[in-house]
Amino acid sequence: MASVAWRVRPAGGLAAWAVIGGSETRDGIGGSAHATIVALPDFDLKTAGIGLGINDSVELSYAYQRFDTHRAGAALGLGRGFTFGQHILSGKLRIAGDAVWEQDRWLPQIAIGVQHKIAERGGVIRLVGGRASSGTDVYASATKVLLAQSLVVDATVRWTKANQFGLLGFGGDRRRGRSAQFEGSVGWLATPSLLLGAEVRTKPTIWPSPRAARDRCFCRLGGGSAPVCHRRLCRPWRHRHLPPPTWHLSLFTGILLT
Amino acid sequence: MIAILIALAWQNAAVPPAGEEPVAPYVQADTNAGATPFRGDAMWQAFGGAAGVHAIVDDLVSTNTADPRITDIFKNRDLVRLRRTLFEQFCYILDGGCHYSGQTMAQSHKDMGIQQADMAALVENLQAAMRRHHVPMAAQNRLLAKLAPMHGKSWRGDTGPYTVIT
Repeated sequence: MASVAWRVRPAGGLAAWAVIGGSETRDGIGGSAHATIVALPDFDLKTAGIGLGINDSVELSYAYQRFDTHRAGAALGLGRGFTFGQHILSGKLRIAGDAVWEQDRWLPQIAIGVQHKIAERGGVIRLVGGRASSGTDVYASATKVLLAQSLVVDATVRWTKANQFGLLGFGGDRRRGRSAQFEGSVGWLATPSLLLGAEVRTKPTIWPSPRAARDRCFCRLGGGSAPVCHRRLCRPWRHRHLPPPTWHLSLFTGILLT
Repeated sequence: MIAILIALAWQNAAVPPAGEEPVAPYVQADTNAGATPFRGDAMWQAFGGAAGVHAIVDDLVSTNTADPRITDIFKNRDLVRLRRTLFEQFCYILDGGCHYSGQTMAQSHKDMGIQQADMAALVENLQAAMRRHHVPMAAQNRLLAKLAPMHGKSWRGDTGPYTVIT
């Protein structure tokens, strides 16, 4: 179906879903491509990727995510338009259920997945308190299309130590290990090809402690990615260095293509 | 009682409706439709009553036979009978006051080699037909929710009460 319902895939949003992209059926292999843009006045987040679905049960994918700080970058002393990027290698395995066809059962489609993320800008990541520039998330996701209600619902638990999806590295002063985080989304099938929805996502609080942040306020990035440290750099950083949010709520639309 | 039913089925099979080819005998029952009907006439009205459902079924059958992805499945099939039984199936499920006289989905799709991709194509065509006949999106999805579980097992060679529609 050119529609969501039968080839449902997350065309928008940042949360993981249990559906397998690329291959809409049990009988074949297919490729997929996706792009997501979250644009806000002070910054934007762009994601683009490709995936391979096999027999509607395994999905392998690669994505590149870029966070453009625009004005926020200037405020943080990183420079206007400073960007963070990361590579994401993912594997997903469907373990039970069918999100779309089994409308006579409540059992959702359940999948488990891993995402290995390799962040660029290792120098900045260490500067702001991230312990490592690469890390691996593990998640379990349940997705169901409630066709009679024209809704798509998803709940995902993710074990992660990523700071802001991993764009700011993995782990920090306050916590080294993974913690369980929640992602939930609800989408409304407005037309056979348009999904409108909202999602909520929690994020770990492993940002550096205020004291650690203050210690780092002497440093900024030099010409390369190596920090340059000087007391004079403190003022802007101290006042602007707010802890990042530990959850977000966002709206998304998806154009669902055949 | 069963003997009478079988005898009636034989009788029906012996004299097919006008324009249709004979079919091997089978027991007729509404449960052959493969889904429980809606209650009330809201869905029937949303589909435009008998005229609307006839138009959607005719549209769906002609779209399917012209669709290169699945046209082969409809080669040498009795399309007169298909239109009639499909109308009855939709009418029964939409609570339009019909009885379904066709075979079970497993019987009618036996050995057709239907795969899930064929089903997805068929659903796409049904969505297009419903859209062309101005069925509201919510009503479209409610009907599809009844039909989707028929995705069944017949094309995989398993046995089961459900299989594909049409």
